[in-house]
Amino acid sequence: MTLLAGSTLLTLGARAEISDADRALVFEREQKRIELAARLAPAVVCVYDENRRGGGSGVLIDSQGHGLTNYHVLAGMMKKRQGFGGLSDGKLYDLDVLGIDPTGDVAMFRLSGREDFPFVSLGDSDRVKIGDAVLALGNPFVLSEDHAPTVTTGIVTGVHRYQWGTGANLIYSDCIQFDASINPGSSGGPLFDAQGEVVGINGRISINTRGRFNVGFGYAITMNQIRRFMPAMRAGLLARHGTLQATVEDIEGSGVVFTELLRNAAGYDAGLRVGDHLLELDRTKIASRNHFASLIGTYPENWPVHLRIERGGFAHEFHARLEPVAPKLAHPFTPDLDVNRRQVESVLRGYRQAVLGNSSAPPRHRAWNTVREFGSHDAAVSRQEKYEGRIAGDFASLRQIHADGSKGRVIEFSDRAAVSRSSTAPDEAPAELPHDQKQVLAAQYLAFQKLLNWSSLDELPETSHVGGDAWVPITWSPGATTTRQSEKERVLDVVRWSLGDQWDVRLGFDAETSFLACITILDLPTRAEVQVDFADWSDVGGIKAPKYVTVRGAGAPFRDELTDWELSP
Amino acid sequence: METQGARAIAVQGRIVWCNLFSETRVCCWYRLCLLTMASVLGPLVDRACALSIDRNAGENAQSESESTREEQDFQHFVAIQGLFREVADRVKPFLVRIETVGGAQPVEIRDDPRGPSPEGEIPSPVPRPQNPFRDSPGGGFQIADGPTTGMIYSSDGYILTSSFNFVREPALVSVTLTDGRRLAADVVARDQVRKLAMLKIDAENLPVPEWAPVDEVRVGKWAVALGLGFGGTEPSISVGVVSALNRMTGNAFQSDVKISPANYGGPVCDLTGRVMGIAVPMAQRPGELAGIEMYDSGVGFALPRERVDQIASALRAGRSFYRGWLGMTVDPQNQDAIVILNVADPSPLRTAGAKPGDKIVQVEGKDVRHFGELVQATYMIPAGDEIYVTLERKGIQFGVKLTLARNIDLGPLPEIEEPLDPSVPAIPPTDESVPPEEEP
Amino acid sequence: MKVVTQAVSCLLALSATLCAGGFDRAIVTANARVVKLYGLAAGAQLGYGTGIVVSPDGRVLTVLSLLIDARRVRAVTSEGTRFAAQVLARDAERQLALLQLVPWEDAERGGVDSDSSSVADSGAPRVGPFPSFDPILGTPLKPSGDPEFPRNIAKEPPRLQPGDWIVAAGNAFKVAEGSEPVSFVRGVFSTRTRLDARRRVRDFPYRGEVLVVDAVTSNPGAPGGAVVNLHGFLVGMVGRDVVSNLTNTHFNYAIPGDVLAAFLRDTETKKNAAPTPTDSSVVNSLDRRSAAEASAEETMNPSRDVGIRLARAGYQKVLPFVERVKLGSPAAQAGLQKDDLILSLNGKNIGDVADFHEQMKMLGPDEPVDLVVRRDRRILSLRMEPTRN
Repeated sequence: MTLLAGSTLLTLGARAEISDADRALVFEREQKRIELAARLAPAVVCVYDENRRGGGSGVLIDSQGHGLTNYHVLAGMMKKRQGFGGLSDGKLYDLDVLGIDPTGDVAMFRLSGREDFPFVSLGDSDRVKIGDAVLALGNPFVLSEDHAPTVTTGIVTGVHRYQWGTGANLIYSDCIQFDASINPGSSGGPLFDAQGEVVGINGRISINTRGRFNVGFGYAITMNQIRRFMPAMRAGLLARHGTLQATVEDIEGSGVVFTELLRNAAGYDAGLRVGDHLLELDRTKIASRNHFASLIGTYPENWPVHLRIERGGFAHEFHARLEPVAPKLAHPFTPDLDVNRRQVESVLRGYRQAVLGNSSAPPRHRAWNTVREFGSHDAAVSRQEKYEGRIAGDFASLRQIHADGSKGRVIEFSDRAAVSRSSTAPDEAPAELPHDQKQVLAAQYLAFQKLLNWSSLDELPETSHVGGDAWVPITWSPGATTTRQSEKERVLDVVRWSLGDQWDVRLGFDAETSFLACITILDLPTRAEVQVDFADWSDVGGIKAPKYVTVRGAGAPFRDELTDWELSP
Repeated sequence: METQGARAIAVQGRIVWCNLFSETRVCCWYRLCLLTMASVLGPLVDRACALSIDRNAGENAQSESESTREEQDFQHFVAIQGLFREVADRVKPFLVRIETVGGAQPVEIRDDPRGPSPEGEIPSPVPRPQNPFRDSPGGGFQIADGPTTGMIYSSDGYILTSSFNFVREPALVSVTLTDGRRLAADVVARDQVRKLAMLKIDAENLPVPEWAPVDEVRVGKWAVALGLGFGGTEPSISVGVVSALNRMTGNAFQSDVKISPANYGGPVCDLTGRVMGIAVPMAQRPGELAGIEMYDSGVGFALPRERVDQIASALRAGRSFYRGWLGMTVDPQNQDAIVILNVADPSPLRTAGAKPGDKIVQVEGKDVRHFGELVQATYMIPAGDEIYVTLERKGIQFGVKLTLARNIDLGPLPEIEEPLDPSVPAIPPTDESVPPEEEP
Repeated sequence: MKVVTQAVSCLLALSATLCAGGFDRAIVTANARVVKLYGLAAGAQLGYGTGIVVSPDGRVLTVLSLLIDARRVRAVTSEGTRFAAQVLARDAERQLALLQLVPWEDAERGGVDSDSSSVADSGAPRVGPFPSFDPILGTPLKPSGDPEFPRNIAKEPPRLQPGDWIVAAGNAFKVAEGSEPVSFVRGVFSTRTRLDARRRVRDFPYRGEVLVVDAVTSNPGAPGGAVVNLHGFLVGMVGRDVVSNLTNTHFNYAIPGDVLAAFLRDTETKKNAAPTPTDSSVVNSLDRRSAAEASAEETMNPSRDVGIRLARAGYQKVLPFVERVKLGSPAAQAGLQKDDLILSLNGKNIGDVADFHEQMKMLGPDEPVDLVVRRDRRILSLRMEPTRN
């Protein structure tokens, strides 16, 4: 029977013949693996210190030479922050240390000396399952003499594992456990899935009485955790991890409960109380205390997290921003200002590139029609209003259009003033805009004009990269509170811009696409904050523009749908 | 699948219904059952399969393409098992079991950390009393009494194996072939540097294994190591992949197969049963047992075909290879440069005109910045081979060609006229406890 | 009808693979059928390990170790439920132990000690049912006792062959807690051979056959774990951390399924692992006694005289050359000659004269002796038959 012949499943004991198809399948997969190893090896770095003594490993993640490794591989190079990276082309390249994450044992470096470096793509570590085939590349025992990496294979043998660190350093939280052989020297090297994407950075093994040799237990920090820290590391910062300042315990049969909460800290302030039964953290069901500790350890400081708890028979949801965990450092770490400025420039340039694409000259005049939809806690029905928007040079304005087509008030914003005037009575004295409306207009002006028209960073002083954040989108529908949607987490590059004594602006750019995701403007005197989200960037007359702008903080939340764009050079 | 009179309906492009009365009736029944039973067994199978922590609720329902892929994965691993067995069956006739009787355990001379450092030792700042050019096997390992593995090299009775078992200089060596014959064997020659040994037995028309072409040994390829070191007549199998080429100064390839005394001397084969290399212990330092400590760690070395052929032809002719020495000690005070402290007379360096105070800056055109790099550049070069060394004297560099020597061919180190550091005595103190044979 | 049956069985087998992506099936099956054990810790022994569930009512097999000597042994199943474990049987020979899971509360109330000489056949099982392995065939079973993967059940246990993939599941390094999956290592079955090993300085008591695997299985906490093949069938139990006397390296092995089955059979007949003539592993133990025991018997059992006198040079560390063969002796009848060098006796290598005498002492009076000797450049096998009185 044809179906049975090829199947060796059923013949438990007998020496079954291997069918030609099966044989071909094995050799085909072997060939694929050989090709995969050849494709990935050039992006793997043999890391040496400034005296060219080995040994650790790293992996390049973009063509400019940025790479990831373990913090403990670079820890000995923190004085001068320089070393060398060997690639499989046989050459040694200069290596500069950028930012570090000591608690999570990750760090970023940058190689220089080549126009375009080979690099690999980052995978989704949440999709890694026990039993998945993996490849580990690195330089165990510093055996490589030509800087070509060592390749080993194995399978994933555990996920969501927790490995204790030393104090607040080198904690492997929610890590991947695997049996591909890694040894001292492999630290900092990549763990690839079967598609050749990096799903983790290897850095730890369990050892037994034999000494520091692999016994089938290697651990890698997940790429999804590292992604959260990459904006800060790329900007040359010290990235700290976050904590809820809360303790949980296992209650047999009933999951996990909070047993301690530090007052006036993240968890408590968010609304948690001792005795709350923790159900979910960021949409993940929490199975045990270990699981909770493991998950919490993957977040940076100030990261927004969503908690679902059960109290007295009812489910409640809370949001908190995590407190920082201070790592122990041998020397105090001062961020390199040049690296930071370079990263600001890179992010802003990336945004400009994303929006303007190949357009040589950005349009100086923009006009659009807006349909503004209001949502509010009280209104049963959201109402709509129409506006006409216009930006020309340093001037931005919004004109209200009534239902019958007549023109309403005009709100104007420029470097000199932000005023509201009547279009029907032009002689009427313009009214000063309330600060929250100013903030909203300013945000749009920054997004559509200022951030697109600059030739050097000197025109944008007082900007710095302050690390990463997760995008917490605003929903504007009635009765909504800010809530993280169940879609994939979006990591942002956050650039801070201090505009005088008045405003503290934070620009959040999507770390992957470079589009502006949100602007938060804090009015310093009143501490009032306005968040403006930009969504659905799509093609408009040759450049990109957002379809929706959502605002929280200026009265009731509302959403603008931007239509009918008009651009003039 | 379709036959005459059958109606085929593609369901999601993969499963095909056909008329019950076609010739492929049974297959169709199977397909039909598959659809119905899958829904019955689905939950059962899901329960057996789900690990609650790492699967979200939405993912339990598997997509068509995912299950085809997983079936294929399973089938793939079942098939590989069969191929591993084929390799063992195919290569078994070429394996031999080697047993030795007698011999002493290698003496691991515990370093008395005194004295200027000879090459091959890490510099330490206090005088050493012992022979600086001794052969230390390295590894700190006691060789056990179990059998070891060898492989037929040529049909007239030459057997290749690893030299590690012969460090003991056993009184007697016997070789047992797969057909059961047990024969006395002579150790023809031994390569201390690349860790190979050649034996000879009185036998003819022996089957000879096929070697894989050199360019077919590639990183990522399956590697299967076979050995007889656990006793028994069936070879043990260990599997992995080729991890890297050109290791150990181009002398070996590396794989993550579990290599250990159980399979040293045996073949590392590809999935078609062709030999890619001979497994040996190796590390980036000299010593016949160096590298044993890495057994079963997923770091294992094998000598590839070109290297084996090259060495084997010399071994066959009775030529042994020994560790090659330059004949000097280095100044332990200087950690960032290699400064010659003393030159033995006679020695390769003496012949080349090197003097105390000279720096070694390059070996074979490659910079050597510190002592470790010098060891790395020279540890795989046997005595009798020539190397090109660049020295520096008073700022001026000059190159010399040296033929490395055996340690027994090195003369004594002359007394140092002027100590480089007043705190270091000019004449190393003698130690009466050192056995007389150790003196150069 | 036959055709339909075949189709159904093949169908069912194939559908079972819907979940199996490579090692998924082996891993999931093994994980559900091991328990994490916690018990007595002392010195270098860490007090945690693994056990295999071998019956739906909660019988657990594990390695014999200090762990089970605790007053209260705790067992945690793959679902995270905690039980106490009573010791039903120990086997010093095979280094195995059989435990019975009981409710934890019983243990807490002090009603149950870990050691229980009475086999738990009193009434209905108080725990479970659990997924388990059929200890004889290795078949993974559902809690109901039915096979997990319905198919034509092989009449014999799966014949594992060298090169077959195996997965060893155990709580190595105590990484897993509660309901977290234990850890796994993957490798292939290397070979089957007799165990000749030691733990630190003492010879390891089990001298029977083991399955050598090419994955590092003997990590702390893993012994007692389940070794399964690609199909999820139990083929052995992870052994303890030992050093092989043949290679002087740490040795990774599994106790074969047939040895586990023999142990369970023995406990069922309440023989408490008394040796039977057909039990090869036990017969082995009579041969391989520790050096201490052997020397203690020196004065009691003078070595059997087969008519061989070996060369003497004042001390015993000399190669065993034959100096004289007594006329008419068993040695002479076997063809032994002067100047022959004795290489091995009954398969054991003889390194020197002392070795030879030691091995001779261990022989029973009716045992034939197989010698392998070197004569000139030949190697010969000779057999000496027992003397007739």
